[in-house]
Amino acid sequence: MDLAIETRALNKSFDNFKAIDELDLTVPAGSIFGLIGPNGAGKTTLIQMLTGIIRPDSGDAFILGCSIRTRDGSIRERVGYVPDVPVMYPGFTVAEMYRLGSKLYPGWDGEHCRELHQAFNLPAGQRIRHLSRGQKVQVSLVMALALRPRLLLLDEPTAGLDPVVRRAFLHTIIEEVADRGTTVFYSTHNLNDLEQSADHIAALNQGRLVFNRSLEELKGSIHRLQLVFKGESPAEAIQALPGLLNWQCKGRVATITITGDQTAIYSVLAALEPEQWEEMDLDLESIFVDLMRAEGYGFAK
Amino acid sequence: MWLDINPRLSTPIYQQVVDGIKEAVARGILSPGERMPTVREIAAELSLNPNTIAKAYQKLEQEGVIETMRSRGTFVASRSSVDLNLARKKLTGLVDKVLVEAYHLGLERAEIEQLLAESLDNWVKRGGK
Repeated sequence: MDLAIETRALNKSFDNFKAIDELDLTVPAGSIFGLIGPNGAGKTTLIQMLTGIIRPDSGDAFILGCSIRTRDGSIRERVGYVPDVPVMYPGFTVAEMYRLGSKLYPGWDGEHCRELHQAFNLPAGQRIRHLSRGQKVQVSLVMALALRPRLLLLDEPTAGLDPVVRRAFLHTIIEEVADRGTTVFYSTHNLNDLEQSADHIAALNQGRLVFNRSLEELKGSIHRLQLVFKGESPAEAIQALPGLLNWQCKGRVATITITGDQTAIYSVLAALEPEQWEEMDLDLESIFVDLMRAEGYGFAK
Repeated sequence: MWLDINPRLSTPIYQQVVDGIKEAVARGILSPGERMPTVREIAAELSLNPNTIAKAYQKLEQEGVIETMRSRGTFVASRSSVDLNLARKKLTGLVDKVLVEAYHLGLERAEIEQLLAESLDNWVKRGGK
């Protein structure tokens, strides 16, 4: 499998705070890869290390086969980056930012830039400082795509965008992937976006990898079931189930969230002799919340 | 678009695409020989991952629902002669599930037969094939 990104035992601390902790992460080429995790999990730190903005304390990472410790910057010609807070010269107009981009990047595609600019309906003559946050993100995406990247790094790009712009943003990214096989690596709290468009998902917590799987595998490996018993639900036996993430017993009905292979789970559950059971749909947001709770993250009740 | 995908379901998206296209063909929304939308068109229209749609197309091709002609595109396959043995194998399991439900709902044989006949009539009335 070709990898677009690979990190090996990557570490980064700020003072005494370990932002990234011995991280090994692989991102297959051509995937739309979603990075999730609670606030402060290390998502932005990781992306900033991948772009070369900050340097790791130890370990290494490879982007398109090139080490991030290489300092010549040539890798940036092929990596588009949309930061969570776009950094652009506030006094420049949008058109001037594009002109700057065309001078900086040898692969710059002026025609593609014009197309995207028009599709987003952006004001070419407006100064950056007078743009809304959403417009700045769009200008930033236009520039990231105009350099014809092989890898796009997006740091919470859809946060704070209105629904229409958010859809346009996703649409543009999907077209890019369909047309050119670009790898997209993006961090977000919007799990609905990911559920729709991502094929791989990794979760970070306290700088460590919680999981890295294809969305299909992830959904296939976690099950929510409702069981109905003849008498009172056997709460103790349920709590002892291997792979249990979350459970609730109310009278004869028990609802559980459990990880593992479906056949194995079903045979364990059959031993509890429920009168009937039913598998319920489980969306990515519930999976995330249950997995994070199992990691000890969440509100204390 | 005639394809209705709900990413929040546990059923994988590629499976929903496979099921949706099979249903569209069975209902006559897509006719044999008709050109299928490209992977890119479906992905862009529904903001779905192109890799997922490509996987669904692969599965549909294996099952003989669609065919790809080199450089000309993908088309709805013409219906091949029915393989009764295969059809039986595939459908018996599905019908059994209906019968289990029917038992628990307390339906008798005559009522089940009537229900199936009605469903079939309605299907044809709505233009199904």
